Amino acid sequence: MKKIIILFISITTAVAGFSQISSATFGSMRARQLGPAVTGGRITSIDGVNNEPRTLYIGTAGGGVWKTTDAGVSFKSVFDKYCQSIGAIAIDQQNPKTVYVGTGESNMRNTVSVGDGLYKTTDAGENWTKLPGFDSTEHISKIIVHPKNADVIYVSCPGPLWSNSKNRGLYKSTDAGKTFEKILYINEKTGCADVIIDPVNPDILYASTWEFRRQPYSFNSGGQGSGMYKTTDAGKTWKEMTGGLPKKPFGRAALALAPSQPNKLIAIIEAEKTGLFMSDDAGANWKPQSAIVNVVSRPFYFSCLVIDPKDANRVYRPGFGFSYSNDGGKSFADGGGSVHSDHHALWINPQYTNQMYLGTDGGVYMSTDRGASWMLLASLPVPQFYHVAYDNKTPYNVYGGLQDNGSWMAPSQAAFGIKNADWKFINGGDGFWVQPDGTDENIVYAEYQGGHASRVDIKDGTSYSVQPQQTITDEKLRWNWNSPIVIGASNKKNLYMGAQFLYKSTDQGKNWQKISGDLTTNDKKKQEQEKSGGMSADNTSAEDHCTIFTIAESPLDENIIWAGTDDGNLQYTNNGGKNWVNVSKNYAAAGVASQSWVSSIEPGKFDKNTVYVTWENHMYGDMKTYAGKSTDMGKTFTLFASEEFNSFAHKIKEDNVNKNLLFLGTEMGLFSTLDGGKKWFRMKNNIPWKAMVRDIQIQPATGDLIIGTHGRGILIVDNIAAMRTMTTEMAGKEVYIFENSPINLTMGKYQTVGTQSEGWATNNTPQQAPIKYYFRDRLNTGDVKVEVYDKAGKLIQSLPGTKRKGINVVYWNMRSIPPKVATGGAKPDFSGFTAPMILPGDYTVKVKVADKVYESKMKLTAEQNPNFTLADREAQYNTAMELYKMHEELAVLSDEVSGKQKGLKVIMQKLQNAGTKKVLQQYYDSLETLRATLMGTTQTSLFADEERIREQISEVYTSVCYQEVRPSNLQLERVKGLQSDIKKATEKNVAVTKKFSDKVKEIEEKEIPKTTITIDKSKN
Amino acid sequence: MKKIIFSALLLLFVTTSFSQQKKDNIIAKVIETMGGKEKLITIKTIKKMGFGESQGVKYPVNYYAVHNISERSDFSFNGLTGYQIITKDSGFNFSPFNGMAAAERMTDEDVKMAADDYDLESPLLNYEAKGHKMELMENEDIDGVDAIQIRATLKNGKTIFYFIDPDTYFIIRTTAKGESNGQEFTSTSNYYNFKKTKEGILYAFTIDDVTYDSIELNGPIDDKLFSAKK
Repeated sequence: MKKIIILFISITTAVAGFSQISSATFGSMRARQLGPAVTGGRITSIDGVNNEPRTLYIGTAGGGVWKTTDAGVSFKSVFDKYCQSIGAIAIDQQNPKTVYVGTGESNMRNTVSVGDGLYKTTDAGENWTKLPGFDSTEHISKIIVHPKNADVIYVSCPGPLWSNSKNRGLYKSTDAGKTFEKILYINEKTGCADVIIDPVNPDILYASTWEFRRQPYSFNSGGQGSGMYKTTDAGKTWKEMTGGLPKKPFGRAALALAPSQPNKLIAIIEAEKTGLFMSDDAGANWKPQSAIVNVVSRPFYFSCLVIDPKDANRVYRPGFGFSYSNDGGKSFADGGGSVHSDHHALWINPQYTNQMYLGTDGGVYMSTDRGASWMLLASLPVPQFYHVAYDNKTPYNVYGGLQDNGSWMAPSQAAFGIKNADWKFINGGDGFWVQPDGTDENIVYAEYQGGHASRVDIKDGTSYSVQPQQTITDEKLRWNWNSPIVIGASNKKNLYMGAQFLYKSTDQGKNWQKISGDLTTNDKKKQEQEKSGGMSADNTSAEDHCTIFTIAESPLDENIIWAGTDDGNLQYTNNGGKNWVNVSKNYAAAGVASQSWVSSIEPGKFDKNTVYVTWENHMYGDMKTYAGKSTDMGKTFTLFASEEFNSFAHKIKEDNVNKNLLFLGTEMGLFSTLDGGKKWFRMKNNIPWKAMVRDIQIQPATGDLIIGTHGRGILIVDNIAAMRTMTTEMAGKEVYIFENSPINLTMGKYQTVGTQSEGWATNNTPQQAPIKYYFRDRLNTGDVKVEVYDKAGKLIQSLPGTKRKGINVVYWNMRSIPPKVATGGAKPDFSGFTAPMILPGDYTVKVKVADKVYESKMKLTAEQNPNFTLADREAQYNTAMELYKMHEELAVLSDEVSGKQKGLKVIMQKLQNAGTKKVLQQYYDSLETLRATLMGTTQTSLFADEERIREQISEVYTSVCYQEVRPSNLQLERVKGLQSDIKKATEKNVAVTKKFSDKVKEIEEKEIPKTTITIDKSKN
Repeated sequence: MKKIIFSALLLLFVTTSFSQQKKDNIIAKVIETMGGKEKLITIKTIKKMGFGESQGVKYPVNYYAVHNISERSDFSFNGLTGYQIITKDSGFNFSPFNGMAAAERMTDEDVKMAADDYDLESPLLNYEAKGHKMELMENEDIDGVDAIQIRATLKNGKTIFYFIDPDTYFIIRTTAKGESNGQEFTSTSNYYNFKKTKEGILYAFTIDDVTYDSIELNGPIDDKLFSAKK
């Protein structure tokens, strides 16, 4: 029994002391979302509230769902906890707070992501509930809410792209999404591509089915499963439409119905000869129609066709470009205006049909003239990066390549925040890898699809191709869609590129050396890309295969180079490429499918024999997370596992400082481990929980974690020092205070984002001292104070402490407590919010929690700056303190004057004698005249300046407090002048008091009872 | 088939009832933690005196309210005091910091949106009778706490999300959402430093950066405080 009790006590003690490290532990370390929004990512779906068309929801390929309530001036992300690949959005127009979102984009390109279900909100996007039945459909192309009965929902699912599945077809709910029934199903290869409903008779629906399949090296659109169907009994029975339609097999078909004439239909049908078809009799008979190239191009990718809500003759075809018809589809013309190509969504404001929103591969555009001109809504930060990089400048820049939007760079900090204008275009095409040169800060290497790499001079934008070329003895070079170009981690002069061979240059890409044979499987069956596409030929290098996909030079030895391919080979050399060792069988032995893409390789930073690898096998229908480690140069691998993992892996990163701190980027989220991979947690904190994390970097000087996402742009978690330090043991402590790194004093460098009415802007890292401490539990009772003391033990600053569970960060502006400023003016004086920045030195931080005190040291340093030396800084500080004291001196004087006035008022109210009253009134007025010289006392308007001594001190004081330069000769002169003004005012106070003191004394003695207030408390 | 439908409906009914019961139990526990219904309904007035704090600057912040009649918030700096007064049928803002010479009338829409602020019992108490609707939502991470979330759709059209610490049943955050000038607005408050008043009613003495030194219940409050006239 005793044993049982002891065991029970030890268990409960252990549980009480145990605190799980999770994302919440680091909740105060919120990522900054840099965007950009100057160029967008792919938009897949748009729906607006018909009765309030300022409110729209935007679905994106990799950035979740965004909502605007101001017609597109600004957007807010409303889907951060869920899958970021969006296929369809539908608003219940009868109750617009109810919105359905289908995850899994259905523009079935090579890089399309996958969804994980259907979601519903009933509070306009605040909360979402996952609905049953769509966990495995992977792609949802359309959702229809019955126009008259909101309980009826239709969901069109093309279904999985990479595998056979029964989880596809058209689904229906009659209980507002609680349950669903499949109402149109063809076979395991064929899903439902499109569905439309007759708004007048909603029992009539039309649907297109689509047989399709991708493999890593080919695509097929089309088959006998594809067809056109109609139901007149709300989906109970379906009839295939054939009248006038081309001979099967079909590929993908897009449908549209004229809301104002529901019997009028048009369709683009991918077939042997893809064409446009029209029906005026509700689908009974179809007529082929000639159409321009844009209307019939690339049906698997461009599946959007829209008829104006009011005008049945006005038809829109958003496709590669934007086309319109004024005769119901008989003829089309290309629209005008500058707009990004590749269109996937169009929403027309039903109340004002000239206004429309177009979803493209480059973001959302708005037109108010039916598409004649367009405006990019540049406040939607959903770009799709493949890779990110950084340089070593101060502040450092980030670089990356975007799906269909070129390559870009931006500073990690910029004056007044990082805005659209801070992003700089580097290279065109689809962007992938961007690598800043290791030795020349003006040179970067950027590329577009298929390995078309260039050396770019970012000073002037000049560039030339550096792509290695096929020699007379080589096979045709095979370049991946996303070909690697990589700078050496050990020797920054080394530049690598991979086709099926690995190339190395040591002269900025001018000349190349082939340092390997074919590192791929060279499987010829996987190299027939010219046959790819199915009903429509489609090979744009997206399907090119048997290529090198990732290259990594060891940071510890430039002769150790790793290369991974898209067809399962993982190889290394330890002699600079003379010999290569293929370890793919070894990772397969650990449980990774042998044909997997090697998505990233991270040679160890602390041990040459260690390597971290991620693989991904989703193109064979396997969505599992494969990430592992080898400590013996790939002879054996140990795979990482976590219940949190739920999608395929793109990138693994080892920290620069703590070898047990790892980061893992997957298609659905970023993960971290603090113990070398035993336990992982999902990183949140302004990182979308299921962000498509394609790349991860750690900037060595700042310790910033840079995250490249395929749909949410670049995210930065500033300075991960706390993650490097945190341990399970620390997490068990009630309170823990972190050591502080030395901090540079800076006055307003970069600043925060100002008023931003449009566009996207991100704040800089706070240029303040972060004081970090940890609480095991949220502090619900009691208070927390954070105090800073100087070397002499004098209190410099006292700040309210935050009280969250996990790491708390309190920012101190490295200034002292502001002065007491004279009160009683007509306007406020904001010197009361301003304090001098303190001087470099050693300080003590005390975190006071209830009756306990936790201490740490803080060193404040000053940057070496010839324009602001330590002597200059001291002069600046001393001048600021002189002005500080002048403010306090003036405040004392002002209090004294107004105190006397207050006393006089009380006495005057009690006096009967008019003569006496008059004398006191004269005294009062004299004081008021004096007071009016101390500060502005009459003008309340912001537009009427009234500068007196207080305002004049403030003007100099606030300037000096915020200037990183020695005070000027005239500033110093001004200080002297103001000191003289205070002196004169003080003398005036003495004179006025003296003038009236005898009279007041007499009145006090003769006319006022002893108990009244004393007027003059001063000794003047 | 009939049986399956019946079972599905029964399951739905049971699930809905369970959810309803769970929600009401949570609200009951929150009310109990706040001091209990019997005490909450005795609150007629409240006066909170305190200060806000930022980088060493302390500025007085006071709050006065008469249950279901009116409220006033004061904020002082550099000897000047701004205020917001809201009563059932009107509201005024005065901010000398922005150059205002006199109080300015608020829109009816904004006045209506504030109606729940001076329900001193809490909108959670007797919510059905007050015309509010409460729903239990998914938990949310609030300050590292896996907080219970209650969505309150108020009679005035505003929505308040209450986030409740599951261990203590303290409300640790509220997020209010409403509409002003056709645009959605969001207002979030975080609550700390919970203490009971002498009457036994629990209040957060710290709300974001504002800490109250004293919270006085049912004391006299001068009607003049709710008049915008100087």
